Amino acid sequence: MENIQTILPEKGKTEGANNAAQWLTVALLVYLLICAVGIISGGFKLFAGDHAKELFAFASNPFAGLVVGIVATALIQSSSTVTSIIVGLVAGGLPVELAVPMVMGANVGTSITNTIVSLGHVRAKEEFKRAFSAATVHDFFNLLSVLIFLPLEIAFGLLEKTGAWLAGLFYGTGDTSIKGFNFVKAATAPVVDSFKSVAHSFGDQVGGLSLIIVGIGLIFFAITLVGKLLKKLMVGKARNIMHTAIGRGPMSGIASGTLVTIFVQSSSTTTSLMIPLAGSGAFKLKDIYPFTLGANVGTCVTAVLAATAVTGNAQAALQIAFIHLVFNILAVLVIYGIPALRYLPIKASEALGNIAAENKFAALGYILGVFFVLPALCLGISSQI
Amino acid sequence: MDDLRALTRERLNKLINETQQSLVELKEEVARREHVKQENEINDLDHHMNSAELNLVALKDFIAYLVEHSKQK
Repeated sequence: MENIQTILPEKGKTEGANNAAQWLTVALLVYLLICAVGIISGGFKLFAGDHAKELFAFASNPFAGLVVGIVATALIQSSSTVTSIIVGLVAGGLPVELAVPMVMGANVGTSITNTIVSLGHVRAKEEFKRAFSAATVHDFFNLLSVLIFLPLEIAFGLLEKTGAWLAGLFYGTGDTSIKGFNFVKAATAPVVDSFKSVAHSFGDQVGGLSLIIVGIGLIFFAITLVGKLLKKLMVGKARNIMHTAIGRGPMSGIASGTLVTIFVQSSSTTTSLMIPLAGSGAFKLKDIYPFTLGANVGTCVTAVLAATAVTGNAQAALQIAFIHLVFNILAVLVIYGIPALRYLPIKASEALGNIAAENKFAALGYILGVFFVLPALCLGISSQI
Repeated sequence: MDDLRALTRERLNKLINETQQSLVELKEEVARREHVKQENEINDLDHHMNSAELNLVALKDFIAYLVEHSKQK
């Protein structure tokens, strides 16, 4: 007994030290992520100079921008990474109006992850039907939100104006604004400036491009590793949140989806987490649906955080980060708030789940069609316009 | 139905109330069991967290399943 008593506190101390080390790593990775967005911004500014708009002329058609967002996110498997890169590019000179469809596309592209996760249930028909429906409800919601808000954006610039107003609040006059003193920017400046000074020695084109590539690599590395660490560190917290949300209605589901996503820093993780819960039949589609909507809102935090510290056109960077946030909040308010629209994603995903359970090729066709063929067609058509 | 016609109005109302009460209790029991099932699934969240990652094995397995089935047909 004496041995056990001496061993147990030692074990507790080791676990505590491990946890502390992991939290320190998370903090360092978030710091790295913010630096990386600054590096991309600096690189893009160096590379494009005053020609950022011309460089992204291919995305001047909003459908092309949307496709870039969808395909990039579907390939990288992380909307946080893609939106952080977009924030960096906007800070480096990419016009906000070109970036808006890209962040919308990032929303659609990220939903491929949980759809692929649901394919793991293919060998049990009923389980697969439930899992595939639970995965595609997120897709249909995101597609519907683009169908509603992209035309509104093209016609009125609704999101661009709202984002500009919100960013203006933070970049207003006075010492309390970010413009007065930005601690995060001051903390990341030495690292970002060091990278920039090294890149300058290679010339504008090579140096700028190298900075962009290094920045993208660092963002990808930081977000992937932070996701892995937070999954381990926050699983207990996520469990408590979900226990609290059970049986408390859709608002609680949306709030818990948002919180879990902020804690694990990945909407793909949150929505994929729902797949086995739906597959087993314990959670119905109507329970899963609000949770996935919350995931869309929670994932915007990463880009907002990164946008607080970029150099260059910092106000525009914060504007695009807020546009992503406002887009996701408005989508929830409009689609979930209007009863006629609320159940459309559920009905569509249930119908698709039934078809896919009978014919598994339909599931494969759906994934290839929505995430690759349809974007390619859009790109082809938009290039002709 | 003939039996019902023989029952008094008071007796019928009493039966309706009892049935409604039973219905409420049955629904509550179903909801309770669903919540217990959900609680149990959430308790297993560590395991689900691991499977919530994009796994190329799942994709490979899915394609193998499709090939297997198309050959059978």
